[in-house]
Amino acid sequence: MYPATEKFHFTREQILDEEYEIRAAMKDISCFSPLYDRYYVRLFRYIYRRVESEDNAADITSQVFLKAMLNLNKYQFRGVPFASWLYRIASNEIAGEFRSNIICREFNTNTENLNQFAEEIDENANEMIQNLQNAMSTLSMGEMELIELRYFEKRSGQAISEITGLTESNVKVKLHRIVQKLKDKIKNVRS
Amino acid sequence: MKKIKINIDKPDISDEKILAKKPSFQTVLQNFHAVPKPFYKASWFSGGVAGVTIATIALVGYYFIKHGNNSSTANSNNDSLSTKPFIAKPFKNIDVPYEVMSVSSNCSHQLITKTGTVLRIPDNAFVDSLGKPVTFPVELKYREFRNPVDFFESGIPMNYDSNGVHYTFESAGMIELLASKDGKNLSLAKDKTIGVDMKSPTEDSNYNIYYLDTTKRNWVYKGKDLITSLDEKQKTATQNNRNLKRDTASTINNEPNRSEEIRIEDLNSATSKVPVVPAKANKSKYIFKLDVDLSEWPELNVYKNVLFQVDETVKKFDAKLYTVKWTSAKLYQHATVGNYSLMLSKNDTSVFIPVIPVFDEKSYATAISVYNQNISKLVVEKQERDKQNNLKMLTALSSANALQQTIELVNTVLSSEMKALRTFELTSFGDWNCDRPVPPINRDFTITPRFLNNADGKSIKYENVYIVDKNKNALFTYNKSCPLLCNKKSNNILWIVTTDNKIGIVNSQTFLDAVSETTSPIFNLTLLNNSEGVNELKSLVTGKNEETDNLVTPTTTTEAANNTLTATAYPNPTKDVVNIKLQQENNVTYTLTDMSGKLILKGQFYDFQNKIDLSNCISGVYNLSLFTSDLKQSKNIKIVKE
Repeated sequence: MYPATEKFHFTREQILDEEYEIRAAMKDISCFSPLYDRYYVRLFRYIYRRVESEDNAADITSQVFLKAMLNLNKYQFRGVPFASWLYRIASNEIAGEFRSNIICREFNTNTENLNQFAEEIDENANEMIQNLQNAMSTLSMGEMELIELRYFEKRSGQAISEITGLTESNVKVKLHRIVQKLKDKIKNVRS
Repeated sequence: MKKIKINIDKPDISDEKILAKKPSFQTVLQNFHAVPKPFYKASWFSGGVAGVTIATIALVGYYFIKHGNNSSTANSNNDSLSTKPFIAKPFKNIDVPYEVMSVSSNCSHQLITKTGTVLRIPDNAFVDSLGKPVTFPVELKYREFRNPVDFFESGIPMNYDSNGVHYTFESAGMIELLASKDGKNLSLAKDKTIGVDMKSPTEDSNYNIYYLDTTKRNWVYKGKDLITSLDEKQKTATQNNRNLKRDTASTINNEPNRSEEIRIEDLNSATSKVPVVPAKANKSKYIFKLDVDLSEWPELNVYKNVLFQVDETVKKFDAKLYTVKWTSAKLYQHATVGNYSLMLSKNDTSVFIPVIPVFDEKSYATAISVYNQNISKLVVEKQERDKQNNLKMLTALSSANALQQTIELVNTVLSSEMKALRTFELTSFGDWNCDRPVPPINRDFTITPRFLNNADGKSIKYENVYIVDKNKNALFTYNKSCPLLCNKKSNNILWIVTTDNKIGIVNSQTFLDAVSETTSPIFNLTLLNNSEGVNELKSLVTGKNEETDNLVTPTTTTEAANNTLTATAYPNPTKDVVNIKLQQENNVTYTLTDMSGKLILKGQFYDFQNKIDLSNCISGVYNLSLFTSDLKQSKNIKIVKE
């Protein structure tokens, strides 16, 4: 599901390249086309992992690009990859659609990632996958989103901070607390 | 419970499948243009929206014609306006009145309008729609638009697109001149111009003359005007002449800069584009040979065998990229000519490489000759244009004497606030504007207001919001769905026109108060019917009724200088009671809130020494806000309960 080639990390140089493109697009929106071509597939996958159907994903992807183009002048260069900005717009868009009950929010992961996550919470991982799933369903949307980014999609703290707008240390603290919460819940179930 | 699913091992979706769903960038671009934007951002005049806009305006116009008031007096005006749906008046029954003059014979005339503007009409100036000279008398309709309320009433769009940048105009005077015979509009004969001496409240020279081209739906730059300061009118004739010459000379000096700008624009439309200066390929650099159709790039299309050399000044080139077998290449152009980017892609990855067009040794010589041919063509065109410009200047100089007389004539009519006389020439009838563009950058404070009706407390339905900055003679119009930009420090008057043709006005004081507190203010408006509203606006905007102005400036300064209350709280931290000592005010309202903003206590202090009992509160930090009865001074104190 998650090809190893997908880039979650950007080098300093890549970010500078992009700045060059974005500045061109700010002057003339038709220059946005290379960015659109480059990020369409990536953004589509990001959204597809979060919503149920392909059609919904396609709709939201289009909306995200439209919003990005409309608000491109508000984009500020902070040494953060442009993709993060798109992901953030996408997250907000998905949240909005979810709130207005248009879509069903999905959290997708593969067995390997889920097992790794389970191991982090408890050593007897194999027994408690079901328990873990139950415990996760009690978490809030925001908490689940962090888990998704960190454990299901294996993003770095820095990348998460760029997407969510939280500071890196805050992300770590929050994740630590969420994991603690899940541990407690699973313990309660066992006892 | 909301619908949340945790899926494990959801089947992947292939790239092909995703790309099949991907809309083309053209579609996205169309959607982008279809989204309503603040009109200074919208590409009304060039983009695909033009069609949509025409349709909308036509519908609105149709609605007005069908359902508007049956005003018989303004019929003739409306006839001439209804042919230009581009100009959408907000109210059918209100417009800037025309002054009607009659030209009786076929010789040159000098007409002076009520406002003191002089129109110099040459002989044989009028022709009908087929280009035939007309019999006299001819009826001339003239009006001036002096202030933002006039712009608002007339519905003339005061925005300007230049090289893709959108501006709002700040005006130093706008006139409209129409000619008609038996109800039919006439045109100005070819090679005839009507000289105009318009008085203007400013003698600033950075205003240009623009003509409203209703077919292109944009203002067209027409050149500079000749400015004569009215303070100099007392001086001797010789001095005056010298000044005039100097002015003209400086205008001529200014001309090349300005004309260069027009030249590029003109060339872009006429002979497509100035070709790129050919450069020789550097063998030590990376060069791509592309098999692309250059018809999209006319500045390159004149050449053959164009190569693209990697421009390493912009960004370093990774040699590895040169060895990859790319599946597709796409060329993009940037805003500046000669600046291209090459996008190479393969599967999901793509790279973006800045390139410059170059030629190898064989084709370089041919390219140079092609370039020279093209340039010499352009030079000839430029010379012709210069000639025309010089001719115009000469006519201006020769009219210096006439101008002298004019100044004396106008002198009698002029009011003291007019500082300069602006002389320019009309090449056709319609709207002519002496303007300078105000870039949106100066207006950096964004607000998203809401409007409630005072009568019933419901929110008001409206289409557009208008803002006037009193320091600028400009009208800023925003669509209801867009956030407004304003200069917070300036004196702003804001108004809306409701869907049932009423006006709600926010005066500068209310606006300032609201904006200093929040970026999404709520205004309670009393709606006025349109004629009352326009009168009110006139008095507010033109400042004939100075009361509000006089009030505003001093209060804002005192506020800025002294907006904190002097108060001390002790003991702090406290266990039960906290003493509040006030210095100058003795009628102060206080609120005590906890850190979550919950109100704990509220009351008033009447003495200099006051006490608040916190013994019932749980320990923590509390916020005490003090403000005077007129809400102009305030202070926040943090109090810690132990």
